[in-house]
Amino acid sequence: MEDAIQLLVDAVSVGAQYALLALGIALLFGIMNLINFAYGELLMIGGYALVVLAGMWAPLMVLVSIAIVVVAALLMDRIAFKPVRRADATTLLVTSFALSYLLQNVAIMIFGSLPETTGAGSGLARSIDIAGVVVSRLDLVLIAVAGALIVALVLIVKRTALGIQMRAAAEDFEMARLIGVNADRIIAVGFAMSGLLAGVAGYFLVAQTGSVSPTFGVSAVLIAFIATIVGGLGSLRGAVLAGFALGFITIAFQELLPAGLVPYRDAFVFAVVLLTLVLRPQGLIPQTARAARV
Amino acid sequence: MLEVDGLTVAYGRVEALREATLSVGEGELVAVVGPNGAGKSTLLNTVAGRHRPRAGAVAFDGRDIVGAAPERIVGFGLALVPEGRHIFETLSVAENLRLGRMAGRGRTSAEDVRELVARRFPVLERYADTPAGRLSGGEQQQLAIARAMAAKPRMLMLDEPSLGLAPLMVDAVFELVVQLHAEGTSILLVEQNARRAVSLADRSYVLRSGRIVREGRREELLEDFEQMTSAYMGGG
Amino acid sequence: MPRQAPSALPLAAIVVVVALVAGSLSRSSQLDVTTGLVQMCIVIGLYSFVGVTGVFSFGHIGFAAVGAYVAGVLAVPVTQKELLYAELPGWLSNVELDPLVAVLAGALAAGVVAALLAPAFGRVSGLSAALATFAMLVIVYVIARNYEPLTRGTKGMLGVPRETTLWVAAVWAIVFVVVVDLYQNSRIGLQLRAAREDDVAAGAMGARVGVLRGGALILSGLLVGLAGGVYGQLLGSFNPDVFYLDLTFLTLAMLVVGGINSLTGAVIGTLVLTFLAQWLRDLEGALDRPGLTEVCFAILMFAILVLRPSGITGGRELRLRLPRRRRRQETPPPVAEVRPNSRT
Ligand SMILES: Nc1ncnc2c1ncn2[C@@H]1O[C@H](COP(=O)(O)OP(=O)(O)O)[C@@H](O)[C@H]1O
Ligand SMILES: [Mg+2]
Repeated sequence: MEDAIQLLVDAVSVGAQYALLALGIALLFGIMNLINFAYGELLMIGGYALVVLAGMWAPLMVLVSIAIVVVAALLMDRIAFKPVRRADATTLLVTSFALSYLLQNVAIMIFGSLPETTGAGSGLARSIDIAGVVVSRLDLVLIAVAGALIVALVLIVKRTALGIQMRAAAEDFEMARLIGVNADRIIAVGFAMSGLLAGVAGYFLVAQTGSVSPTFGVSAVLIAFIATIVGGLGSLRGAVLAGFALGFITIAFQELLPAGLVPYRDAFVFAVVLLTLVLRPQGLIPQTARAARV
Repeated sequence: MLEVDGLTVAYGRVEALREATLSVGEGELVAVVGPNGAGKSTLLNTVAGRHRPRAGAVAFDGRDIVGAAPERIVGFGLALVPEGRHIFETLSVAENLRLGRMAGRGRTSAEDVRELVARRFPVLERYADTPAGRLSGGEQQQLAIARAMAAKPRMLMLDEPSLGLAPLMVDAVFELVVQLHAEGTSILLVEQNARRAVSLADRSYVLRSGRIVREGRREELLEDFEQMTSAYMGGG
Repeated sequence: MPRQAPSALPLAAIVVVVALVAGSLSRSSQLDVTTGLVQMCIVIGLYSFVGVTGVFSFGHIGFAAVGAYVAGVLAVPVTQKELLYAELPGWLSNVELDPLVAVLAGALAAGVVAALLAPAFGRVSGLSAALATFAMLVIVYVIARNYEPLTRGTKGMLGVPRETTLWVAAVWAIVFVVVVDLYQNSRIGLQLRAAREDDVAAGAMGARVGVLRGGALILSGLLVGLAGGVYGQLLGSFNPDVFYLDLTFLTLAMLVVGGINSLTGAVIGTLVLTFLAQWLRDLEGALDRPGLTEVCFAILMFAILVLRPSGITGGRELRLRLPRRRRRQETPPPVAEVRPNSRT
């Protein structure tokens, strides 16, 4: 029984992490058809920010690192994506791939290709014992923060004027502009939110692994891709659900796959992605009526 | 109020509009008619800021608006209801209207919009929370117009509002145009349904192959119709 | 699209000139040019899918990996297999193919993998296709890392005969140029390119487009798999990371910089980046800033995407002017564009 609860906490925590990652990708895809490979490098920037800021009072350090990631996301928009906004989705994808590669290598130029270790998040490392069930504080904090962030985001998107504008822009960007939605602003808001999610997810990732490297964000962004694709690109709810589902599947594969097959876990997961893309391309990626972007 | 002077617009090498010159006065209802492919949509879209013209000037209220972004132009009080309606289908009717109101930058209150809907678009009232995609074609067209009017624009540009509607709905939409005009909104109406549009409008322009070939007051053009119908009816 | 004069001749001539010049250079420069020519084969193979069909792929390096591993393991001498590949299934541990035959077998294996995926590309295009190919790359990578009996995982392949000399690479590059030029000017190639340019044409072809695209994937899988085998026999030893994101980026950058819609672009792009790399690596060494070359490539690729999306060649082919027979006028691109409102 205790084991089951621990596994459940594990799965929810992994799922919450994946949901954060997926939301950051899905948000921008909804607004501007961008699948942002360089999202992983936002995580990396957050990680290195924590390395550089080491020694600062921990809560402040986390906030500053998140702020740095948000600014980086906004700069990404202005410098890299604004010039290609009118391009088709594939060109955007290729651009973001180039940007991702660029940032990884800038990190290599500055920090070298070996991982940097950091104690950020070590304060969360201890486990606590709740009625005989041992869970890590990190997991609990992660679940709480991710949950709060997801709820806040959903409320913003569903209820506020900004959220209505975002949904309108996601459905028909040209028409949204004709009805007064400021294109630059709404996209900047999207990038800022995406940066916020990346900053938070990046912090938890650093807390889990204790180190940062130039390719720090690559596997995380792959997971985010999977969740956004399986959840239906652009659908925020789908991204969150798929993120959690993926967390459960990951833990389940870990527990259930024969030992010899565990290393192939990612291959199985990506095979599921491939099949999803192929068998339900329209259902999952609504490419049809989406009007041209800015 | 709107002055378009020598406007030339091209898609690649194809010129869709050639040196078009026209004007709409304060409170006036002006129609632009012409066959399919004449360049009517190109004209409206360019004025609304969706395309950048190759040459020519557009002034709204004396202000040069060529090259301004669409969201700025609608902020000036010049609204376009594009061809094919383009309501936001996944948003509710109320959300569509709220978006429209936001474009007015505080010119209208939520109360104003509620009152406008009750008076001019009563069919929409019961659908407030319905996703707009569930409305019928005619209702969607009304919503598109209501959404534009929610910002209280000084001038409204309508691109073929009767397109694809059942005859009864066509009547309703034209009736709506007349009412909005009567209340003082300046309107630039684009139609293929030439005779109908011309008979509503104070003045009309006839567009063919990107050029304005005829301009006149209602009576003059209606007279034309009797004599040389083929010019713009059969020609399309 | 009118039938066009072949561009294989001038492109093959360029390859020959490059190889002749490289032959007189130092050993290390020769090796760099040889690597460049093998990469040219990969890029041409990639072009035969991306350029011809207009469907983007991040996954073709996966085919190169399949080709390299299969060709490698078949060509490793039996004597070394006992030592290095102890866990190899029995029948494989006694096989030692001629390196050329092994390369062809590797190509075939990659072609089979492509054939498994081909039906999928009849159904999806655009973004879904690009993402699906990416998923494929990850799958191949994960398997290569973990199926140790065959691939030795992260320890890497060893003992692959180094057969790819400068001239072997040059000959393969010429073969690739000729094959792909014939293919893109064949009836099927022209249909695919017409469908690429024009959705209406694609629609008129209906389901046939999907079938043809699947075929194009198989052909490009064969080609890239072959190039991968040749690359493996140049390296002699390699691990799964050789055939992952770095090479994917490099080959995409080469294709984009040269011009994604022409064979000439694939050739020119590869040469330009290969020569740039020579120069940048020196600079990188002098400044002691690893990563500089990659940063410059990424910036260059980005600049091309923004300023000249059709690449250096602008989508045109280098071709010999045919005397006497007047060339038919090329049709203008069917989709004209609106000049964007630049203040957005
Ligand atoms: N996006 C576009 N790209 C290329 N040509 C276009 C585009 N939009 C319209 N055209 C061409 O411009 C001309 C005018 O079109 P349009 O303004 O839509 O006419 P109308 O609204 O009067 O039917 C037509 O010949 C049409 O084919
Ligand atoms: Mg029209």
